Amino acid sequence: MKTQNPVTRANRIYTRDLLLAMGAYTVILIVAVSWVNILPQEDPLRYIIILTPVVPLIIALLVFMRWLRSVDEFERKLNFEAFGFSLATTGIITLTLGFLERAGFPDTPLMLVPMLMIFMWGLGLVLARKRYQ
Amino acid sequence: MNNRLRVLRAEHQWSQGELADRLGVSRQTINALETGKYDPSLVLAFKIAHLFDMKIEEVFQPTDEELK
Repeated sequence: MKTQNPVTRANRIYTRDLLLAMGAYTVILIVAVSWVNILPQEDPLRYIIILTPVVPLIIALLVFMRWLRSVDEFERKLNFEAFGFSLATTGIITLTLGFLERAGFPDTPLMLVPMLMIFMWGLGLVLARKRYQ
Repeated sequence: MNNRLRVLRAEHQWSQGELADRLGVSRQTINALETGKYDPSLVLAFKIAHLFDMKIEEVFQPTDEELK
C-alpha cells in the first residue's frame, strides 16, 4: 500500500482543522455580538461573552503551529521569509498611519492590524514562492 | 550548490511528485532543489543520497565560491 506523503497529509489535516476552527469562530462571534447587544451596558457578563470568539482563534493558532511543525524544511523556510515580510511591512504601515493620525488623519481600528498581518504574510508567501521557482 | 538531482530522477524515471513522496517532502521542494535555488539541510541531503544509494558528494557538489 502506498504511504501518503507526510506533507500532503499535514496540509489536509491543517485545512480541515483550520476550517473547523474558523467556522466555530464565525458562529461564536455572531452569537457573542448578538448576545452582548441585548445585555444592559452595566452587566459585567458582556466582557466575558465578547471575549469568547478568542477561544477558537487560539485553537486556530495551535492548528497553524502544528502544521508549521509538520511540513518540510523548504515550506518552513518560505513561511519564515513570509513572516519577516509581514512583520516588517505591518510595522512600517502601522507606524506610518500612527504618524498620519498625529496630523489629523482618521484613526485606524486596531482590529485591522491582524488582518493586515495575515494579508502581508500571504503576499510574502507568494513572493517567496516566486523567488524559489 | 550544484546537484545531480534532476539527472538521477530522470534515470529512475520518477516524476517530481514521486520523488517528493519517497522523500516525504513537497513537489515544490523538489523543484527548488533541482533548480539549485534551495540547498537542503544535511539531513535531507543524506536522505536523498541514501535514496539513490550514493554518497552525498556524488549528488551534491559545492561551488568553488562556497568552498572559499
